[in-house]
Amino acid sequence: MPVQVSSSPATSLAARFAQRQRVRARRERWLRGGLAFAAVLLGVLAVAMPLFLLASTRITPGWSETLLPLVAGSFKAAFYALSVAAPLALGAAIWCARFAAPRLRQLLKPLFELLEAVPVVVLGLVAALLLAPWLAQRVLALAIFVAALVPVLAASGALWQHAAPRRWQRALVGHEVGLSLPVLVLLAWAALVAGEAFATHVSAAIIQPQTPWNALVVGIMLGLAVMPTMFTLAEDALFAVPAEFALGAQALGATRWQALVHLLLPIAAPGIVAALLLGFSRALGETMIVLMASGNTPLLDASPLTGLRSIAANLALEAPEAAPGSEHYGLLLLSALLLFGLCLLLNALAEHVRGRLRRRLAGL
Amino acid sequence: MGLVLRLRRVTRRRDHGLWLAAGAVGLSLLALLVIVCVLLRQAALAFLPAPVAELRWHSNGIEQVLLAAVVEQDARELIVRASEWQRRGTGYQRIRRGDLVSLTWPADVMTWRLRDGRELHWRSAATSVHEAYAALLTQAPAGFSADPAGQVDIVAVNQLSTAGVVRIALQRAWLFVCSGPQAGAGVFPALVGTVVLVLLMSVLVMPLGVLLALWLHEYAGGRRSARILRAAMANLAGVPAVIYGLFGLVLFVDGIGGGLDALLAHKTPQWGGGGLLWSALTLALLTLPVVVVATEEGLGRVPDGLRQAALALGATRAETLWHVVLPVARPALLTALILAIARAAGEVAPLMLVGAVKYAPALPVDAEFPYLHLSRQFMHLGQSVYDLALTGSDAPRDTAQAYAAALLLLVVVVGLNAAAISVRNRLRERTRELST
Amino acid sequence: MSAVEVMPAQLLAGLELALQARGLSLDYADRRALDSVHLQVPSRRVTALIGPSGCGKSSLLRCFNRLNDEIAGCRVGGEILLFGDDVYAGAIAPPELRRRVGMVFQKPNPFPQSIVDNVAFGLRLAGIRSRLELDDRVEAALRATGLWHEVRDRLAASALQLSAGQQQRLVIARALAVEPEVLLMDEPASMLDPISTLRFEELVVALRERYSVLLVTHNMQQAARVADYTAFLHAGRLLEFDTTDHIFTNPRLRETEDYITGRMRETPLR
Ligand SMILES: Nc1ncnc2c1ncn2[C@@H]1O[C@H](COP(=O)(O)OP(=O)(O)O)[C@@H](O)[C@H]1O
Ligand SMILES: [Mg+2]
Repeated sequence: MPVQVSSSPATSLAARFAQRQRVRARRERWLRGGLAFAAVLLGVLAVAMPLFLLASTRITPGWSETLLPLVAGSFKAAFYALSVAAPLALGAAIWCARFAAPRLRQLLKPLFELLEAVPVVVLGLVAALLLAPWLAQRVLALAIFVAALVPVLAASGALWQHAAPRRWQRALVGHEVGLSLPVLVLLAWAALVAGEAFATHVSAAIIQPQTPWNALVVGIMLGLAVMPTMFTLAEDALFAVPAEFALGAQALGATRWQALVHLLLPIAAPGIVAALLLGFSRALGETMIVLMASGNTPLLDASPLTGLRSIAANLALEAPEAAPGSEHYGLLLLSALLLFGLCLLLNALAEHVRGRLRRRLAGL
Repeated sequence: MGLVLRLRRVTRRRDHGLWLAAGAVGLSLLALLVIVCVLLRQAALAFLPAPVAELRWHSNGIEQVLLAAVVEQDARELIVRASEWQRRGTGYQRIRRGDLVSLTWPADVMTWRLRDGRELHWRSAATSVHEAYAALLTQAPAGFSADPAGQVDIVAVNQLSTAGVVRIALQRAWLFVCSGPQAGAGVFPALVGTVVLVLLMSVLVMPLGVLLALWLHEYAGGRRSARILRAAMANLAGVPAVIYGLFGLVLFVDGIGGGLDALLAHKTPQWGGGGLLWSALTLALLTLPVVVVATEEGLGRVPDGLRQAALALGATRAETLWHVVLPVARPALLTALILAIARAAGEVAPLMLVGAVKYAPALPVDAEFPYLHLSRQFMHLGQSVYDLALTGSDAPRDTAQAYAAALLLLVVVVGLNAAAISVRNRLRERTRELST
Repeated sequence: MSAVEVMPAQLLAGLELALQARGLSLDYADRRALDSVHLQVPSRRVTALIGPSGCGKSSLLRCFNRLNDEIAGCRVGGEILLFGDDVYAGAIAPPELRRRVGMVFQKPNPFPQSIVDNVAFGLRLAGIRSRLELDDRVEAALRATGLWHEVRDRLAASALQLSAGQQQRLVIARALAVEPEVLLMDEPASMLDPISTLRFEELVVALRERYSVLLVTHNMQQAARVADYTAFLHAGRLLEFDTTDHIFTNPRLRETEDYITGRMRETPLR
């Protein structure tokens, strides 16, 4: 085989390369410079953000009286949001990661991603205009629904396992969600009917909210808003645990649920804790839902049936009007700094915990 | 076997948790379904032509007659909207059920919808628009005048077939999307504002984000500075959006903008108020982590063999990046862009601080030099949803329009996200092809 | 260990040396991969580099075109000469060095572009824009690897559609197009089927006319078939260097013999 590469070069290739070398080296330097510039810019911004807030804060006498209800409001909203989101997100994550049929899981994951994409202002709208007035008349029904949820689901599951033909059971493995839907709808209907029937027997003080725009409404919508984030994180953590663990336990006679509780959950615990922390952080900082559905009254109580005013909503309401340099402005920035610090702390903590999970999984 | 024993045997298997977990999925799905259905229904109410009733009732012993659309009703009273002869929102009346004598749906009612959002009802059996208009003038109160060109549609509402209702609703929905608030109600300026804002933000964030990702992934590697920057990025991603808004207000609007105004000796604040540029910069900061993370992930999927091959041929790093790495990672860049846009398009809270307003007299883009007005205040879909819902002047209509605007926003954002997800999946397929 | 012990005196006398490593050592972040290696690669000959997996063959190859510079935490000590010029002393910029010292990898790695664009990649870096000249040079490079007749009517097709053997010859053509002086090949045939391997070996023998080839291989028969000289690397040290005949028929060291006869394949623990 003859090897003949350069046919008839006008100038040799080596010379052409030598000519271009300076230009190419310069381009390389430029790129390096541009990249380093971008990196420095971002570094500066990351540092600048808290510094700017810090530099303009103003501590005036009586600041704590003004801020305390706001901080309390933020925590109240986040707490109720998390008590809605945590069971939903964790339950859904557990089911999707360990029990769902693969095809169904592939369908459900993007659905939750889409739920995550719903703009919060849309959720806020639904909460403020529809959910709040509707729920104000049906607090008792909601209480009944929540109280009956766990026993009814468990009982219907037990009934199914005990009474349904084996063949049906086998066909439905991995698709139990479909079975839970009619149960949930029936339960909701029953709770509504019961709520109306018993409304006259229960003291109005307990079931009649002071205002339709209260922490309960905020908790439900905010919970729905932060739930998908928590779901994704927790699901990833649970899914990453190798399947052999569960299979091994099941081979020893444990049910699928026992294998989950005793083996998989402890392994994936850091991921779940991180999901909770991040969910809490997001709920603390979320603005639009709280702004629209909370009534924005600065109160210092923990009742779910009263309104609240959170730091974030307060910022959105007051910052556009505050005059730069005024005491009010300084106080707003102080509250922002507080919120910033809280979220940063929670995120750093979550990141730390997730690192533990990663190391643990790498060790398996 | 006793029932108790059997029950105990059933419960001993302790698989109930599984059902609770399935219930959580079911509950989430139901919630999503309910929200979507509610939005669809409420948004449709904004456009469906409302049937018009003829009401007779006693008020202080005098019998009154009125042609009106029934807006709301409960066990005690009705809220109706009669013809708005003067201004939009002036036709509402509250009628107690006890006073009501009769409520009928006459077939010969005509409804004229004007461009400014008003609706006029009158009775006429006319077959042509001209005749109908003449009949209207005879029934209108003294001093009424309207420009016949300012009409949207004249329909015999009570005779519409289902197809007719759908056709009219679609027409009105279309008009809602492409007209402005001064012409009755429309979200066109808000839509334009949102699109311009998001485009400007993309132009600002993409170069910076991609440069950063390149530096992090291709140059800095495991260096300490890179690790610090990554941590900073992770923390920036977790900062609440409203804090970004405040940061933009303090740094861009009051700081840089105020400084610019002082420097240029503007009497009225031009740059020192909220505006398009400051909003875009704020959103760019907000979406920077999204872009960096998505781009870095895409760069990580580029097979290392390709980089080695280019370098081994004598390419510099810059040439390797430009000719080999970036073309292969192009779908990842697209994903990053779409994710950033989807995040930014749905964000409202920071914009309330740095430039989105309830009503802006002019669009941020027009045919006048310099075409793109960076310092102008602008309208935004998300902001419109908030304003229509909570601070509207004509509550029954404004809230319905708030739902319509929300639905539009939802469609835009969810569409963008779905696009990102599908691009990402295609990208995974392609890189799998590359690495086998 | 000095050069004298490793190879017989006068072995390469009279031959021009393409590459020389003198006292070369290489450390990764956490381990030493090469330890005072002395190696001489004669010009216009095929030199095979053999040794158990993980002994540092690829690392050594990457020293010759400074590809190790791209690995964070990698330090190189000692000297490397390319036709007498010190490579690490700054006399030759890395891109220029890599043009002169081409490399072929174990896994065929064509760019996800058309066949022409793959071969023209290096030429475009030299600033060649003329379609005519590009086509000329691409054709020459493809002919040199015997690929021309197989792909001449689908030059615009994606390179990823070629078979593994064709892809490997394509990347060789890509390397040849920039007129290198030395070719480094890192187990280039280990992923090819027997027929492609045969064609590949013919190609290497043909390349010997114009290029100096340093070929890493795990296949003893292949080394015996194509190489003039063979170097045996073991645990980061160059233990033996001789003519291929000599190494395979009469190795001086116990380790070499063990390796060649297949008694040692695993990386020895250090
Ligand atoms: N990028 C790297 N970073 C750290 N260690 C490496 C790297 N590449 C190779 N090594 C180590 O250097 C030693 C030699 O590797 P290599 O040169 O690839 O051997 P060979 O090609 O002979 O199989 C091995 O122990 C390997 O683990
Ligand atoms: Mg190797």
